[in-house]
Amino acid sequence: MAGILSAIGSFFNFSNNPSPDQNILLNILNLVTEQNLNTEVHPDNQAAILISPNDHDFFKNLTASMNERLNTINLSQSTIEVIEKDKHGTAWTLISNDTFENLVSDVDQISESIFIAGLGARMIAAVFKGQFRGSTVYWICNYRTAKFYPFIPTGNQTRDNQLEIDMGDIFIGMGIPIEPHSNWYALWDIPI
Amino acid sequence: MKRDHGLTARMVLTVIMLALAYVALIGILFWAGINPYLIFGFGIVMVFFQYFMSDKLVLAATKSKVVTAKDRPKLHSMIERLSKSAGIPKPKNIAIMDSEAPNAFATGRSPKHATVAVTTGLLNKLNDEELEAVLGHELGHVKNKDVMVMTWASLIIVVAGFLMQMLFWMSLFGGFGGRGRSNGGGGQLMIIMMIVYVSVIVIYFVSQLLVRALSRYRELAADRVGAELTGNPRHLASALRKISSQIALIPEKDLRQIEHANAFFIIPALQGKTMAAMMSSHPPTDLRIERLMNMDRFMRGQ
Repeated sequence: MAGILSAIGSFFNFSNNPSPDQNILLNILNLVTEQNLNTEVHPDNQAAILISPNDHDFFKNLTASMNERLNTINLSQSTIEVIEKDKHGTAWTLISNDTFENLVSDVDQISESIFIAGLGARMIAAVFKGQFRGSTVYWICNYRTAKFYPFIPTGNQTRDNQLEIDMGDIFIGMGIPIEPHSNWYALWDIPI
Repeated sequence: MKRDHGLTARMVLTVIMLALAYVALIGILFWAGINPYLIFGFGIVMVFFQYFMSDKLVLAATKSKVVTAKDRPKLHSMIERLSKSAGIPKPKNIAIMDSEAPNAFATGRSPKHATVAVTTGLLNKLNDEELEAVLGHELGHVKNKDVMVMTWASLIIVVAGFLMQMLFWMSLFGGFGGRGRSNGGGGQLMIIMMIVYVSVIVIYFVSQLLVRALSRYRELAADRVGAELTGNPRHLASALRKISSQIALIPEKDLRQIEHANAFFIIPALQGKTMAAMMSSHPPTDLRIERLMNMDRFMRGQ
């Protein structure tokens, strides 16, 4: 699992590349380990990987390609669904699991397998769903920067920026690497 | 609270590099046969004037009005309390600047002669805890003697800037060797002066970068003092967010649109940001908030 970070890091030449023994996605597990310290944050057991397909064979039948890849890795009974193309032309791999820990581990393994297929440059973000102060929140990990940020849509392409900032403070308090505010891009219509 | 050894090390390194810049500048002047005492003497006079007059100059330039404890009892009592906690005398002047832009500054050559000023926008926009945190930050500058440190660190910029202008005008009016052309030594003198000119330009820009880096480190150090004085780094983080309108920075665009656009760029738009960050006298607000939240985490024992 630790290999993914160094591989992605060297591929994208991150300016603030974390050390290879750290894992980007595992940072989000702090939400669970410190959950008892913060009762306002509740991770759901759903996540998604956002990919930007190109004309590579892998994307011609993404569902079949993904299934083929998934057979080569040892997932912890996650349920997987593939959306081959959304209205932006990007693809989603939706993952759900009984526990958040297993979910994160499986998202990581799937990400790694896509990277090993030589498609690291096509990976945009991993998205984890949760609840924060009664609102649905998405914790987005930007693969290019290896940092997270919260996204709290409130319907009709609007979002709760103040709540996102409060959530961001909790990220920082938990030691989760966070994007600068100027990179907190929206992700409308996340299919989880 | 635990010392920030990384910050201290960066400050020490910056000061050492600045000292090397001074040595390089003096060395090049000696090499070219230019008397450095006269040039540095001019710079020292300028900097002394700025140092001793800083409070008056800044108050006049910003049209800030000194307020008494009767005028603004809450502001005075907050500053008095924080000064006691910081172990420094209460600033000589407390002033208010009539401006809607939320801001604050501290000036004065020493803690005894310090002036702390806030804008009306700051008083209107922040709650008491946030205002106290900002005042704590400004008193952090006073406690750390930042006016003195930054004024003297800037001496090299004043001197190199003066030299740059002098050499520029000399080059326009033939001072690079016009006199010597008739006796054959003009070519050599011209080359020497060109080397001095280019060296001074390089030293000027490197010193600018170093002084600004030092300024950013002093800001982070003042943040630490402010957070320690109030005992709650979150309040300063919250104030910074309000002052810098962090919400306004959050983009409306969809990540997927950006991703498609980025595909056409070999080098992301990061370079411009990096250069701007290097030339800034203040660290990025995101970084300051991140560090304050880390302090908060540390203070709460997490």
